[in-house]
Amino acid sequence: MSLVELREVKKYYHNGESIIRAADGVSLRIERGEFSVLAGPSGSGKTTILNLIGGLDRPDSGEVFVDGDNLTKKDQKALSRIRRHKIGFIFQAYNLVPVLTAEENAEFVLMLNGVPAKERSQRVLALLKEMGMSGLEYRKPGEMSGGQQQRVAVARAMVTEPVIILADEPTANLDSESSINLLNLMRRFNETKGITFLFSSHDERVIHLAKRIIHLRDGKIESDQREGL
Amino acid sequence: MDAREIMKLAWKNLGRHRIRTTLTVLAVGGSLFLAITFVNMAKGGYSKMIDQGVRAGSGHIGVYRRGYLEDRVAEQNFLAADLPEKVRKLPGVAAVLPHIQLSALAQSAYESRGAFLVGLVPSEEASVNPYIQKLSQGRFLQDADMRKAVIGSILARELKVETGKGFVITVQDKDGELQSEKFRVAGIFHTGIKEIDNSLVMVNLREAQKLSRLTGRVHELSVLLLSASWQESVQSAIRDLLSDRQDLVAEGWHRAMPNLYHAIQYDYVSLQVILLLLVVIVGIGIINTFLMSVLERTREFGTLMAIGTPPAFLRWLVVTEAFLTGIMGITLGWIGGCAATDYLVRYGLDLTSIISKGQEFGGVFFDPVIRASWNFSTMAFLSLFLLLVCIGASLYPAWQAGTVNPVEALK
Repeated sequence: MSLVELREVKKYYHNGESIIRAADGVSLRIERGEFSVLAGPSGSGKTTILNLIGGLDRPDSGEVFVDGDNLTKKDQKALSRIRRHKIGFIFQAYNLVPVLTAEENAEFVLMLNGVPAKERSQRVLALLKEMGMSGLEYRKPGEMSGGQQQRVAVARAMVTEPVIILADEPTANLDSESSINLLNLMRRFNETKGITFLFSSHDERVIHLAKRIIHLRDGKIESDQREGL
Repeated sequence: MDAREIMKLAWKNLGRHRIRTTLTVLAVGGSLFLAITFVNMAKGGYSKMIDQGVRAGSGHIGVYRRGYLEDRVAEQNFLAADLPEKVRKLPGVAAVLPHIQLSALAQSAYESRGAFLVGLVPSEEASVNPYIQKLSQGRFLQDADMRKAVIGSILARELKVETGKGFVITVQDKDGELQSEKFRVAGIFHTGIKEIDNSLVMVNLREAQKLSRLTGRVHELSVLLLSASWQESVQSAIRDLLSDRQDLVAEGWHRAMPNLYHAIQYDYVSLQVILLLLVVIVGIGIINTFLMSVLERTREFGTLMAIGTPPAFLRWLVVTEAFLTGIMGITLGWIGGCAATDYLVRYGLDLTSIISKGQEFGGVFFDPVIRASWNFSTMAFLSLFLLLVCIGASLYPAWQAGTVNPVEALK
């Protein structure tokens, strides 16, 4: 079975009398080790697809499987546990906790998972060092640049060694250089550690760094291209 | 979930808006400060009034003929025998004061007035009787005094007598016959309480017994304790001593002085209502503060839920923030409350400029200099109550925090 599988997933939103078809019968498979992007204009359904795969939202119909778990049949508590152990999230606006340092932000999910303080500190510090963040471990988000904050967000998503990392427009708030650097970092982790990434973007420079480009339009998959094909 | 981690995060969250946190802590601390100060001041005042009351008559515990407290008739006397000695030996007892109490007629060469005659043992009363400090003329009685009396200032004025002058006391003896005796005024006291100053006449116990032909008998054994905390144990021990004397009862001061008891109860309930209103206002303030704090963090809570934080963690986080706010406020309130109480215990609050001398409260002389007393159990109760109010006030905001929809919050 694929790592992620969407079967005929529909998700409609009602806005007054009009219906927004954010996911309109989407079927999609993501295999382990992929580095894929959901591309498309605003309103094409990128965020909705990511939310459905992340168990943050439920489809109106269809099924969503992640690592063998049928998310549509799980309660909130189980979904919360799955997100904690199997899924990493990276957000457009970094969304770090402002009162925590880089290290504390990155180790937050490990703390939730009951990992002892010493072990989580070791794991996070090693990861931050690998990401070129040495010396910034004890800085709070307000004391870091956008690019640095997004690296901490990546560390927070990666440190639990999830089966997939979902990133919703991770470069939208970054300048060009920081965007390319972040994508290169993610791709490096994908290639060296085999971590599966699925991110959304409408930035062409970023989209072309992905190995698989899934184009969405009006809640439907318009095209699905793989690197080298 | 690790409670220590929640505590650490809650502590950091309180630092986000230092001014707001400080104001909330000040509100909690200020209300506890006021509660501790007012309760300690009120209880100190009550203690003093109870002390005045028990020294002036009934004692902390009084031994009476059954029915005397209800009817107050002279026939309800009893033979004291060796009971005073036995009671005096009980642990916690400071003094045992036998009293004869009779309705009387006081007559001078000029006027006659109704009076209340109290026979007492001067040497026993010397260190405790509050009227000694209120003497405006002459001196208090001595055991060797024969046919001497100490009387109230209004009665002396109405009889037109002063120290050294004579007047006649007439009472009904045990057989219903009128008996009269001439006394000389040894001293005149002035309490400022009209009902006492215009009627009370104190004479030697033996004189009163002789006049009423109640030799060896008393109406009241007034038992003074080393402190009010002995009340229950001594009262129980006296009841044991009275097991073979079913005609006698041992009653606490609140039965002998119901006016004072009810006045204190009423006053304390009023104070509690005011303090409760204060706490309710503080509680509403805390709810508002924490609701604001949760609403401000909707996006953050949504993020935390998205990365797998259980709703219960967020709820505990908000409750812990309230708990820490409460602890800080309570610490502040204790510091302020203890400092104020210490000052009021040492120096008191002098209200003589707004309360005239001679005011009474529940039939007892009211000292306008109010001194506080330490009441640690009440202070602990108030602190715990306030902490529960803080936690209670955070429950709705905490529930809100756990119901954030991550998809909506992250939009």
